[in-house]
Amino acid sequence: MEPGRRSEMLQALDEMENSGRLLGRSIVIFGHSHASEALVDALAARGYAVCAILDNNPAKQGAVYRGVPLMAPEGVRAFSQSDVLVLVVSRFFAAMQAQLRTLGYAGEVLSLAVYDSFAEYTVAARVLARRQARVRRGAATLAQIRAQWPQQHLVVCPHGALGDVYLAMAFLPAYRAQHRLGPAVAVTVQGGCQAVARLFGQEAVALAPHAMDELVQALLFTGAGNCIIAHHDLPYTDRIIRYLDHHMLGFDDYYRQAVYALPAGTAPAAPMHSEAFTPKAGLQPGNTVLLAPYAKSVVSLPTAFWQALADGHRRQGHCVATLVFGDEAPLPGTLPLCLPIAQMIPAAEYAGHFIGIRSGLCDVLRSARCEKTVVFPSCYYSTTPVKVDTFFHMDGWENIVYPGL
Amino acid sequence: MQDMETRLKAAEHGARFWRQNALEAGGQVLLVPKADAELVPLLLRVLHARAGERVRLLSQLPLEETAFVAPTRISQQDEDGLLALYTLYAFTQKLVVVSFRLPCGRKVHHLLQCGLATPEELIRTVLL
Repeated sequence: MEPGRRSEMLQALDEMENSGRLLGRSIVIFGHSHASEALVDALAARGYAVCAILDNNPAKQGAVYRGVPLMAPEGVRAFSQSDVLVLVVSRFFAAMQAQLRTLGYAGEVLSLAVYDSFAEYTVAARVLARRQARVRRGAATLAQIRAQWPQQHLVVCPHGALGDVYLAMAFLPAYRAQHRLGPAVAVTVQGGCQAVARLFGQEAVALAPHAMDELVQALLFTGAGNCIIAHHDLPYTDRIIRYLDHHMLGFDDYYRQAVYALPAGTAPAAPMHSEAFTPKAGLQPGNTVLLAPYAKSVVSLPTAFWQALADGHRRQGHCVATLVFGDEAPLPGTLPLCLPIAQMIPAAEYAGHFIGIRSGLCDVLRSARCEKTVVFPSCYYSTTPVKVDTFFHMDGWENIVYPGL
Repeated sequence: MQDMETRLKAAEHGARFWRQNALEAGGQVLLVPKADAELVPLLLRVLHARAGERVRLLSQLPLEETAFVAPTRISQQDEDGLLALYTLYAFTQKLVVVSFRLPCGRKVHHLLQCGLATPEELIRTVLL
């Protein structure tokens, strides 16, 4: 879960707890994801139990997270309407709310973090006016970008995920060649995404998440030319992700073919820029395991799994480090390593072995010359019937699925 | 790139059209842009093959009413308005724009271009 959304969710929970809105309620969460698991954890830490997690994906129904059963949305009918409080941390909030109303649930449905600023299922005049103001702001942002880069092709990466930006950049040279485009400018969300674009030598501008959403809205609304919104699942007007409901298309192919319309055999470019890595005391070249147990989107694996992995490698005489960002804690007994994106490849090559949960960091390390292991939770990708280890398979890596969730 | 004010006015027209025709109250609403007339025979075939609930079909094209299709003839202004509103924000889950390229920037046609699906498959599995 992205740090910004996590703190938004925790703040909302604090406010609800302080105002007594959680007391005596049957708490139900709609949507199973990394974020909703974090919500279950946060509620448990405050002493509140969650009755159920609702999810539309039949493949997820029947599973259990920390004792909380995953069930079909119709399951909401099993609870007394006056007691139930449905909480959502998902970009499908508006759709979920509408679905619950259709199911006859008239109780409270609350979004604890703004994931999707695009949807609001009403054509009420006040909403229309607000949306008009929003698209004007987006157009102003576009004008500012265009003032600086009037001719460049804008490659807009709407989602703040490293892996998405990595693939958008990796196939960009082939896309530019196919369309005989001149220089491009990547427009990314603030944070590591801009650094990922720069690994490819790509000029990049970074926007705050809300400014990015406004820009995307303005691009759609005005039909602006000389740009592409380079994502496999956004914006809402595109529906290419639905192809996965019936056909398999891996993450790479989504960018290669669905996003950029490149021929099947087109090879992705590799990053060309990196910063020198200055080894930290205690790291041994070629005898270090870099563990990356944290991810923002896929569900987490138990700490015990990572701890056992770290202990096992230490017993074999390897030095073990945990890659951390922000307030993430290193695994006990391992060296914490907080690195800029540009040092990740040299660091992994220095260490010799990288083991990480499937996250955008794995994409960043695709071209690293070292032993690489990716670990997947056994779960389904988003709303699709495709397993994450199938969709996000890493060629040339050891791919492991952790079955015990 | 259309003038912003013109487009905002079009979106307001789209909202009025949506309200006046009470489109939110029913089931799925399919908008077939005039530019996508060639998709109509495929769309009708898909709708009849799936034999689902009757859908509202908005188009400038003259279409016959059938067991699965309730057509409404709309004007260019209505079409522009609904498309403008749809790109202003996701105002409903019920509207489906039956097009591989519209609204502007839609990439569904890439799947066709790359040989990953036939037009009929795309209508059945991606659009509807």
